[in-house]
Amino acid sequence: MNLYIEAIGFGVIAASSIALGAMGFTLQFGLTNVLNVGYGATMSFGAIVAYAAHLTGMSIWLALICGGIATSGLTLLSAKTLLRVYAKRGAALFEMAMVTFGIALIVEYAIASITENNTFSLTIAIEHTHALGPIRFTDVQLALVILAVVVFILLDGFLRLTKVGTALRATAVDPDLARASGIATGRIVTIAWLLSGFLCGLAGGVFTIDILTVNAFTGDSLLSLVIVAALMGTAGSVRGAALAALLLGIATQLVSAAGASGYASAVAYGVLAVVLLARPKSVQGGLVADRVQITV
Amino acid sequence: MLRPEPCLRAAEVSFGYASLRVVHEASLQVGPGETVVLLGPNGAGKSTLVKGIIGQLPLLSGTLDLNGSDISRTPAQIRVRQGLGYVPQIRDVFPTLSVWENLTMGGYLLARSGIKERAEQVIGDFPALDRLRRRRAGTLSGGERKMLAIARALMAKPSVLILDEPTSNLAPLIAAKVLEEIVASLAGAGQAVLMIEQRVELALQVATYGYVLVQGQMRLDGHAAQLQETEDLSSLFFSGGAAPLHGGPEAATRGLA
Amino acid sequence: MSAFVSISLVYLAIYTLSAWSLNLQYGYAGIINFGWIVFQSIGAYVAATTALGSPTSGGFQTYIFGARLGFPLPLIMGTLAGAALALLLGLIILTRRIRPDFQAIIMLVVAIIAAEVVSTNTALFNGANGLSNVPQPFNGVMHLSYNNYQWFFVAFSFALCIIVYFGLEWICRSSWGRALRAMREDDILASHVGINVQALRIVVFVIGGAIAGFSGALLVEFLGTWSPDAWSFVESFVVFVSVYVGGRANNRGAIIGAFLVPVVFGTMPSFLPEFGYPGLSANLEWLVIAALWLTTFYLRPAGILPEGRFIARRTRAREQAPVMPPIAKQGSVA
Repeated sequence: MNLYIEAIGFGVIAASSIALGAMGFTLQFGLTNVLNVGYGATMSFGAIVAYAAHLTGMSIWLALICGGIATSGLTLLSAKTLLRVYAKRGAALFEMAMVTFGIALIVEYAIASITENNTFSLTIAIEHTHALGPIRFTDVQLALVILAVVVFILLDGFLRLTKVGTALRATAVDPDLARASGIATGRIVTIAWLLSGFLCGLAGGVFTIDILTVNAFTGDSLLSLVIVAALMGTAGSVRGAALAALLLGIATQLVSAAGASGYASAVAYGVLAVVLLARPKSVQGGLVADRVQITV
Repeated sequence: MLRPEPCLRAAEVSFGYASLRVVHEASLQVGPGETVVLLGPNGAGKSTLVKGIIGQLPLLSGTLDLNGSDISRTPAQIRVRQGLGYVPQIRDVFPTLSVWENLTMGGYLLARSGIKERAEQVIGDFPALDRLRRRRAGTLSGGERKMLAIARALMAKPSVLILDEPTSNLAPLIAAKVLEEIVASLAGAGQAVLMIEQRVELALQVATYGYVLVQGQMRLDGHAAQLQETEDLSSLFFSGGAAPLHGGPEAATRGLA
Repeated sequence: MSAFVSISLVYLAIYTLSAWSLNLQYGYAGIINFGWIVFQSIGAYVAATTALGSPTSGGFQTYIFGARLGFPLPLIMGTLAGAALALLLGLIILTRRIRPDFQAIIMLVVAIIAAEVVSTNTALFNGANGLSNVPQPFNGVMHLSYNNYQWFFVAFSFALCIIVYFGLEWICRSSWGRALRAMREDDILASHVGINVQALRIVVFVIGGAIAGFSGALLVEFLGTWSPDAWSFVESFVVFVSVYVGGRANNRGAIIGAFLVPVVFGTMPSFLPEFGYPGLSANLEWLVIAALWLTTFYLRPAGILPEGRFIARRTRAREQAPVMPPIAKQGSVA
């Protein structure tokens, strides 16, 4: 029994990186409608930058922020150059996803080429462990969970209580009407890419601190869970993404605890397939019916 | 009857899509306190004209001024800042945002400190919205939703408010209410209103002035009372513009006949 | 040198079949099968297990339904397996109206789950180690040298390609092919003119699945081995890129795409002398394929051999460009 309670604890820790990633993903996807399959690669980028920054002697927490900022820059750069070019040429939804896939391959294999396919391991001194019933948290793990919660509260508050945050939600629902209300939608989209990139880099870094290794493909192992959480929580909903991430984190750890670790993520993907098939309202549109606007 | 000095003036404007010109050298004007209705059969180009005025389509020829300054080349969001308010036919509110949030978005261009005050003012003008503040706009009834859409557009204190078929999705009774209560009261408050409307009879009762667009050209215009008496208004609608023209004074000066 | 040419040619044949399969599903019918590789893979596994014979107890590999069928039965079984999987998934996924990019995700998810289940569960197809020692057709009978057998396989696979090509052209040029394009352009309109869109979508998905299964069966007969490493979901991307580079809804274009993308940039570099650290050339291959995709999609979005001009603009035009309101159309008559 304790095994399962422990698994819940691990699930919460695992959820911290999934949630950070999913919040960034859903924010950008809900606003721009670009299905960013390249998100995994940019998470790897954030993780690698954070690791490199940590190597220079920076504290791991500061390094994490560095990773976030660098990824934010990379994301905005690729959105405003490559993605924008293809969106202007009228690329369809799926073609935009293919473009992000191409960008992802370039980012990943560029990192792989530079790092010579190495996997680096991270060592962080653990000072204390805390016990919560049978669940044991180290200082670092506790910090990761707190970080994710704080980011969630800040982001949710930003979206609900500030003018720019509300404008971001408004633009996500109806960019034309937002423009007709005088909202500078271009600026709002830029803010969304920056925020999403920052959260993406943070997620990559947090995932690395959690599993203590990093290579060019680190982000990929997190990507599918991030997309699952973002889509389960309805595209564009930060609260939904955070909740779905928590559920997924716990579910995958419970499946592992039950001895079927090989199926842990298969369960998560199965959940996604069921969600997508059973909730046609959030995903419908057919090939033609609804025009979905891409705003990059 | 003299018309007030216009705040929005479109002179011989043409609009269209790519190589296709839909509106040909149409002119219209709207002044404070006027409710101007743009009539015309389906496919006449009314929506195209309005889209051009608010800046969603580029101006192909002619001039557009708002409050005396030329807005022909001004991007859509700047036209909003300069005083064009617009309520689309469908997708007129942000359905996932609350009523209050919709209003604050309408006042996006106001100074931060002024938004709340202005929203209270607007709710004062539309008391029915008061108890709905926290409701999601997507859950409102058709009439409430249109009221919110208009209130949202008024937040920015537009000098001209443009309504694209405000009653198109409403039941007849509600439609009459929207036109007779909401739209009519706007003119009473001195607001300049330009609206496209399919319900000709009802619209002419509320409006002060009307234009008839047929096949992309202004075929007729005149005071609402005059237009109401025009016998062949409906033949103009159905004949595709072949009927003889009984233009108002402005139509004559444009030399369309 | 001879081996280099013959192996590349066999790959060309197999990737051409792959591109045709996806081209039929995506290029002609607009179905975004981002999990395409699963259909090739099941064809390969089924062909392998039906050629390997029943697994002996204590043998080094375990798998289900082992049988030792002679040529051409494993190929046929592989083809049928691809078709059956397509029928099953088609009935679940294609019967719903889902946004096209979400449809792609579901297919992608299917591919990831399949890879994980097959890698983990050794009882199915020997898990992550995969199957090996799959007998090659006629190799036991003909007693050819290694090189000659390779060339025999080139001729064999080309002959099969020619048959498939004529079959596909026949399908795509028939009234049935026109119905496919009509459905891709506007499924609602197509259903209004009496096309049974759902049935058509599933049938075309099944035919595409059958060709994918067939290509997998042929591939495993040639390689003799098949494991989860060979069919990561990224492979579907490569096939999509070849369809795009060659030109959607153009079967001759697909040959060019298959030649350029997976053969020239994906397979041939492995014959180059190794340079740098191990794995560098593989990294560079991927960089080149990604760059090739981004540049061709920019420079020639319709591909090298675009679809014939008699067909209206593609789906994207409608999905993105402002839809011309009826107003405008009437205005233009005036």
